[in-house]
Amino acid sequence: MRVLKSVTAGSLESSDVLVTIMPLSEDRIEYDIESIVIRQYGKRIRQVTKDMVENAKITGAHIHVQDRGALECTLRARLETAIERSIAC
Amino acid sequence: MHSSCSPRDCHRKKYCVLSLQTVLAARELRWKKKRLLAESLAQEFPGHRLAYAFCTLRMPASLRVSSNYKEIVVQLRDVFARALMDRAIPIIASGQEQYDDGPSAWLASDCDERILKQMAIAIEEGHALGALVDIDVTDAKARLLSRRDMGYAPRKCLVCDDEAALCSAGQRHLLCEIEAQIEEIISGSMGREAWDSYDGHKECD
Repeated sequence: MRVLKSVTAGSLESSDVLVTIMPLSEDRIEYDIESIVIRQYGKRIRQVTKDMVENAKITGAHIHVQDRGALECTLRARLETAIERSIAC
Repeated sequence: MHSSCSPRDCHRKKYCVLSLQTVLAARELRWKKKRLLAESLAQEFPGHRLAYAFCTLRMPASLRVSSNYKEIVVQLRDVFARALMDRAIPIIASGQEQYDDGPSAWLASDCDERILKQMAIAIEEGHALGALVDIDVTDAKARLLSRRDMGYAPRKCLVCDDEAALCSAGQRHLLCEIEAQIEEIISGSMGREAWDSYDGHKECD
């Protein structure tokens, strides 16, 4: 499924995460992961993000995750919302 | 530093339970309103260097919605407003709102956002109740300034001395443990000078 538009989900409040998805002209996925707890949870955040994007089968997207110490369930919910918004007509 | 409590103590207490969806929707709504506020005041006050301070409770959502702590955000926002007035820094607008995940109070000032952030950090660190609030500072375009941007160390956890973000992301403490620490901070703030070390002029010069 192709990403149709630039969208965001979430916020930069403490314990939240802002997910931004932007369309790319090519059929690839770019990841840009930032986190205030990158040393401790960076690998997990990247893994969860990649897994969810791959499972959603979207293509042509730049995925920007700005994490402010969110729980994994929060990250998953924000990614799910952002993906839904990015492919909605 | 804090009273001990067990998971059993936590289960005995009845806390308000908010769904993840409720909390996430409230956060996103607040975030959108911040941006709308910035857009609207930028149009209303062209040529001013606007900066914003948003005060929310720094505790789990189940405690944020408790009426016991509702007044703290307004109290601390007012402390902030007085500190600005002491420096003759104009306040353009202020307000307060109740969201599904807790209260919020804010002010907009005609001021360099870095000065506002320094003052926010001084209140968070120096006021007796400062540990219980998050004061987010944004610039005229609603871009958030972080402690890191300003070269400050990250905030410490309410319960232990570790980085707050690590404890929060790892859910390291029980709700009743956090509540006990909050109550201790509030008791400690009563009957003594609210300010421990705040010297706004010193912070911002």
